Amino acid sequence: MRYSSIDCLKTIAIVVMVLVHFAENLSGIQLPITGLGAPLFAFLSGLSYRLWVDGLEARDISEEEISKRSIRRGLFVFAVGFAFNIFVWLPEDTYNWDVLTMIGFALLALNILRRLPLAIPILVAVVSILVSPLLREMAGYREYWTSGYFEAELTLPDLLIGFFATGYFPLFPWIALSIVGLVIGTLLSREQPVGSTGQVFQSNDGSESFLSTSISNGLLPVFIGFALITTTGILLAARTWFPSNIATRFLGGWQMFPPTVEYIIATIGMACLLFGLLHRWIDRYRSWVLPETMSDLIKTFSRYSFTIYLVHHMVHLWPLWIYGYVTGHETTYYWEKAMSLSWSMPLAVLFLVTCYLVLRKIGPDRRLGMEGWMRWLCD
Amino acid sequence: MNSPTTLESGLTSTGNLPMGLPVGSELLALDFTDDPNKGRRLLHALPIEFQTFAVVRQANTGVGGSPSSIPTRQLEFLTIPTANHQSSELQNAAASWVNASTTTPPMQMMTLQGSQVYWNDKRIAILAAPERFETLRTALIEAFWFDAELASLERELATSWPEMQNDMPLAFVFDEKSLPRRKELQRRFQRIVSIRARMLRLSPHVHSPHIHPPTLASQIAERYRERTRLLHRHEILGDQLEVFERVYDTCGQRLSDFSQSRTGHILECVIIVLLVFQIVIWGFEILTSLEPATVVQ
Repeated sequence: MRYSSIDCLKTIAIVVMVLVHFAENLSGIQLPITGLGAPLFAFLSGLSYRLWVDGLEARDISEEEISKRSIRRGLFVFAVGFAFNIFVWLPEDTYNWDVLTMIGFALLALNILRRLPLAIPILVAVVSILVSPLLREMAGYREYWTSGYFEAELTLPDLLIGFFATGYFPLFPWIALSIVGLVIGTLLSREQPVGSTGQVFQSNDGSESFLSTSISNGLLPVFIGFALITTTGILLAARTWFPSNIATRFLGGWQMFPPTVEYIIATIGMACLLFGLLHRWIDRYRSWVLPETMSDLIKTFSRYSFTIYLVHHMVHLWPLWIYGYVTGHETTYYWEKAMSLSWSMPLAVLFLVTCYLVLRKIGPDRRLGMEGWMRWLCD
Repeated sequence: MNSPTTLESGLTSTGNLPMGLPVGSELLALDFTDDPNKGRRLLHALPIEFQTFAVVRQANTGVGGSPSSIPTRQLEFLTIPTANHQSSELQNAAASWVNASTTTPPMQMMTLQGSQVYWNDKRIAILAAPERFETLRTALIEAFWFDAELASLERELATSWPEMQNDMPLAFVFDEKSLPRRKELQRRFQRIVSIRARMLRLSPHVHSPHIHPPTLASQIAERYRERTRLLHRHEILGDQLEVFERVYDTCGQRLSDFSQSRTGHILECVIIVLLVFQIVIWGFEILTSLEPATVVQ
């Protein structure tokens, strides 16, 4: 089943990432929305994975085949992540551990976690978040980020340390977002049929708990999201009262690099809240809430989100590298200082509009782009 | 011919009484209820295990009185006093009146000891001498209720087949994905048990042997049971119920086994996850001690 709420969230994530990357890489400016796109993407990878598996199960695809496809997809995304680092960020950044390598590995882990009782993925997500400050502390995170970006020696220990804890998107704690997506997706499949009618669920025998009623109503992600965001607010506000060891080494304030406990909890909360609200209202009242044009737009962006993610980097980074090389500088000479924000933002918008027009011409149902290759190779 | 004086107080209006009936004809609208409220005329108390009473419906409420006693089912009962139950005019009137309520299931009739009875699942009409009314009415009300109760069970079970077929795989394998259906299965199991209990309460009355020496009431009841094939239907219902019980019993067993093993499974997984994280931290410690991080100038 295709959920418009997920299409909508993927569109939001990709638009946020395009704007943020254009502003950062071309103008060296961090927009206020920086750090909100990638968590949403990671969360949606878990959620979409669950729905994809449900779809395969509904078609009576065997468990073994689902596992094989999952592994192939995970490895494909992981490999594309490396290729992306080499071709877009240039070979010296092959092991910067970007979001694609993280999601690729997460898909492999989700293939195992999906078969376990829900309590286990939740435990893994919680421990992943809690253990990450410890790993960063052990690794000496700041020593890998002395220039403001991740740099490590090409040695096996440094590569593994980067992958687990200190890279751009290290496994810990980022995998927690994909796992939470998987958990929310699993809860989604437990919604009772009455939920899809938009009616508020009412138990006949009064035996339904608050939890099961919330699941049936599709409101559980909203409650979880609200609770997590509130928790983050409290943690951020109370941070100064904590002992300094906890305040600096365990919590760390609102930061994406490194992804602090507060940041991860808040972004999980944001993703849950947004998904919960959109699912509750858009999926059930799509014909009222979403006009046809908007529906077409989000479907197009959603279907090609992987491709857009790759292409938007190529479109704005390759000219920088080429221009730097042609003018006799380092290839990365113009990175973060190519133009002002008043130029980079219109370019981002132009890219999105062009992207939409081209992809609309292709059509959302055609198997092209990276998504098409993934299906061709892995399914 | 129809006079309001022929009707008792609390009956439905004379407008419902067919035209052309002799004086003394009576139309009773009956409710079967579990609470014989005061102020309502109690016609007959069914055997004690059913806790059901046939009462005359209040003319002003349309249904039987207080909200706590919503009727389980209803019946209209027409009694036509006559010395000649073969009168074609009266027979036609009675048959038309019964048929007017519904055409499915078709009307049935029987003739017994100078009385003629027409009935379907909503109405009963009797042509008989007035002194036999009380006996006939009591016997017919009881027989009607047994038939209606069995029909209700048959309907309830008939609508459950698709659900049961859907649940059938769970009798073989119960997994994590089936867990949300726990309450649904519980409800269905309870419903099947409830149908079985209701069916068993009917058993003594459906299977009761012929009484000797026969009375008018016993003969009416026996004839009614034969005509409505109560015995046969009761047996078939029992056979069908066995299939349901077998499926839901096994589902319950599978669910119970799965729930018990799941608790242990979760505990094992928790331990494994914590061990894995401990190994990760331990491995990480080794990694960081093996190769100091490179400080980039």
